[in-house]
Amino acid sequence: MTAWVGALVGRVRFTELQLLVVPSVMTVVGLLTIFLASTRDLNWDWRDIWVSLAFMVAVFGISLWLSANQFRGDQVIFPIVVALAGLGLLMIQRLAPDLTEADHAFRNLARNQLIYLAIGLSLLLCVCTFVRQIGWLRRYKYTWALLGLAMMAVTMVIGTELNGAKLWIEVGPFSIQPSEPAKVAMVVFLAAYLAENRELIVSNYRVGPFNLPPIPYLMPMVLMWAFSLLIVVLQNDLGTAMLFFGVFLAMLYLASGRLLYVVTGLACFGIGVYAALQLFPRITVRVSNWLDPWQDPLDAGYQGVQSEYALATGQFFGTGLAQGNPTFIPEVHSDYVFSAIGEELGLLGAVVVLLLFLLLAFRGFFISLRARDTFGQFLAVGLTTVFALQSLIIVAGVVRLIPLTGITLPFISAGGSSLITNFLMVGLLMRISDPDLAR
Amino acid sequence: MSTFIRASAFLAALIVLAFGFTGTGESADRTWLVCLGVSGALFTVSWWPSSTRSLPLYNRTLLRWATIVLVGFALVSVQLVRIQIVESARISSRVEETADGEFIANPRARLASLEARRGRIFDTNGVVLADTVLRDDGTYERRYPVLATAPLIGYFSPSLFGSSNIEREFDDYLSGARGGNPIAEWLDGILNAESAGYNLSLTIDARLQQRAVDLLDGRPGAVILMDASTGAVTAMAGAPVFDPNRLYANLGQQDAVELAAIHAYWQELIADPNAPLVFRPTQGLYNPGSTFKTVTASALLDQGIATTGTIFRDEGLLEVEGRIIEEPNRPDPSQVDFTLEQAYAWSLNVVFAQIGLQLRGDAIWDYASRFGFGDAVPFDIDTSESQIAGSRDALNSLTLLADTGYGQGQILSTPLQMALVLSAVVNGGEIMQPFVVHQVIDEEGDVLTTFGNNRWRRVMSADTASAMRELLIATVEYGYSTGAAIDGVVVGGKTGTAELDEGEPHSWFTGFAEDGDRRLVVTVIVERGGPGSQTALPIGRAMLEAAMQDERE
Repeated sequence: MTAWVGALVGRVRFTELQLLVVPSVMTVVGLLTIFLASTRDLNWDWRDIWVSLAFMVAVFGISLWLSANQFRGDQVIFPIVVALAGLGLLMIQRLAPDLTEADHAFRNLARNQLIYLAIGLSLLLCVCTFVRQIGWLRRYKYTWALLGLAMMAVTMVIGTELNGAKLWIEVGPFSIQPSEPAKVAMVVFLAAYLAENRELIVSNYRVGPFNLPPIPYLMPMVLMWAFSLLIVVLQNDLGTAMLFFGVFLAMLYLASGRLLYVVTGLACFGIGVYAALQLFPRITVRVSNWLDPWQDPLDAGYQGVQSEYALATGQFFGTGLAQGNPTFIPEVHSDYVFSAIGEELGLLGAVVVLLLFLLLAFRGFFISLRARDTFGQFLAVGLTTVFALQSLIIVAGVVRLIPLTGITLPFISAGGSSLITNFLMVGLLMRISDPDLAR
Repeated sequence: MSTFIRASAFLAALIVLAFGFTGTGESADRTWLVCLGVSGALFTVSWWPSSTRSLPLYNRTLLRWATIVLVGFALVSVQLVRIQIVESARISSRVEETADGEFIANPRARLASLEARRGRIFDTNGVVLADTVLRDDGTYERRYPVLATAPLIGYFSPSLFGSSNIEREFDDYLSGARGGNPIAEWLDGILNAESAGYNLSLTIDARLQQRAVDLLDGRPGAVILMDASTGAVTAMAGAPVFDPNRLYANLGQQDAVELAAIHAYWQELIADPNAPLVFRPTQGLYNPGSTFKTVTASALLDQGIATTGTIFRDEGLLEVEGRIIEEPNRPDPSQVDFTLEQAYAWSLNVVFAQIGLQLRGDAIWDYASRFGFGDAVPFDIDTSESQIAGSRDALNSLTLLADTGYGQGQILSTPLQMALVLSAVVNGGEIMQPFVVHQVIDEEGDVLTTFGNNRWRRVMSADTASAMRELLIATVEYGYSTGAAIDGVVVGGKTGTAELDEGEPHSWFTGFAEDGDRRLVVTVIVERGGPGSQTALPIGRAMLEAAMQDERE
């Protein structure tokens, strides 16, 4: 009997369970706060906060399921992600009623986000449970690359334009943001390519008196550069371009250790973007809104101005969840969700969100260090870098360190493509961290 | 990398950031972005992982990449601190006008004031001075029925110009965020419930305030009437008066035409050379002229150097370091010996210049400080700091010291400060902290909080105060303030005529009347009003008389 209990207890993912307590309690208490603030009354019922309770049951269920399946992967990543996704859940639950009041088109926002969250969590569970090895990802690297390119290319051609950026494809009632799955495809391809050609990329070859970098093996770099610029020009989407090119450069550097590649790449990207700005004036709107939204505070600069009001109103402790007015900011549920956090949870909440992303990044780097083969290492660091760069680019845009871009804040912004892809990436990370992973 | 380089890079990064914080405050100001970039590079140097050759290449590059990510997050956090803490107040109250005359302001200010019924403000007899009225569209609007008290109460213009005076300082009570049951308020906060604002009851008597404004008759100046025994201010009027009804602005309530009118009125007020937005009783700084002799005389008496009977000599001229001070005030040019009482009653500059020299700079500085000069007077609304001289050392100059003795020199005083000087004299040497907001009352009429009746500081001994009081009474009996006498009432007072570099002098009167337990103190200044006894004194007398009639009714 004791041996049986001992064996069971030994298998339980205790660290994960303990770490899950705080984020799940936060989701429950947070939703209760939002509910009370909306009714202005002290009467409530457990049914009023079923969303958070369900979320809590789901995440604890997943953790216990993983324990039961003797999954031995990392125990820290999941709680961090649950904290972020829980906050995202709260923000959407909080914003959706106000948004719906102003515009009926938002009536399904909260419900849809819940469905996406459920799909995302299931996907994570499936990846952790059923994917026993990741060699196939590596083998079909060119397939992934082509798939990713195709998705992006299709968007560029037949994509729907929204808020000036062409990011979506309409498929029946759904609109999909192909850059989200495409980024995973790119990371998988790069990880496989770099793991295979690492030695060649680092080597030099001599032409007469010159030591030249291995040009043929750096061709993808040129392709990436051209591709990113295409995104800027055709989709008017600086954020995705920065993300793709940034992830690419980071992975190239991590594999080769050559700072020269990074510097050259950055310079080329800078020149390319500058040229694009000169050639396509409509892109410059984003830059002038970044430098001074007050030039046109009622139209193009409106978002920037309202976002700054919101952040400044938040001060240190924030107005409190559901006590502020972040819905003055257009697109507050997607691009500017970080401003809503800044207003209602204050500097404290905003910095905690940043710290969570930083923790996620560092934990991912740690997983990468411990991975058993080069492909696993590169894949882990690539996926982690996507999280780190994506959160940095959008947040830096919101606080006006760089021009605002239309990419999502992982796990928090509304949007199905993004949420589901992010959970897929987390699933892969957890899978890579599993010492039992078959090669 | 050596510890030294790391430490200095870190320090340099902090210095660069600190420099950046002193800039314009714009979030994407070029200089600031450059500062942030430079500090980012310095942070990278400071945190760069030591080159550990023993580690595999990948581990080294990963550590470096992690460092860069860390720096990225650090920079974003710095920017957040800048927006949410350092520049927060400036940004959230920022108002801009576009070329088309549209206004952009933080829409949050108006929401708060639209949702909750802001507390009303009453005078001491229950007259409504500030009201919140329900409009047809279901929103609330702020109204000020009594214009005479409006500048004291201030304006309330949440979406355009913020608020001022009582509207600003007591906003927590008026908006209902503070003042009642703290647990209920906390719960209201959690529930984001509309809490009705609390009402304020002032010590002001609207009739006396109206009288003061009528007496000033549009001439720039100030009138303060207070009870020195409690510190309660009964009238505090400034002229010219502006109309805060015309500044009330809540975006969403007014259309563009109305907003433009509000803005135009604001511009008009700002452009007005008489600065109606400056609340003169507490913010106006004037040379006090001879009314300052009360401070000089109190210092002299309190130090025990002289009594009211001590003889001083005034031959009509006094030379100080080659500069001649002429005596304009002797009633009889043949008289050269004067008691201190006579010198005060006839406001003899030469005598008070001598007293200044006799006291020396330190004593004058110290006594004036005791009266409150050099400190912001603790009061319910913003007060300016009165000054004795530019600096303590400046009083080492004998000419300045002599000028200070009789009230010229570099002295700058608010009318409130001069009222407090007199209130120390009639209140046994002790100043009661002045106050104008008496009670916080809820909608049912229950008193939640009562303010006032706090002692502020002791300035001089009771004996000195009583001797000083005699000087003031003598001035009304036979000196230059005889016009202030009221039958059957003990009245004292001192006029002041503050000479300016050019044009008419400022006209001052500070006086008191004893009415039962009340020690009514009045202070009047009329800018460029001419001799104190002609312009300010009649206003002061009328106020004292009105205050006492009021009491008897």
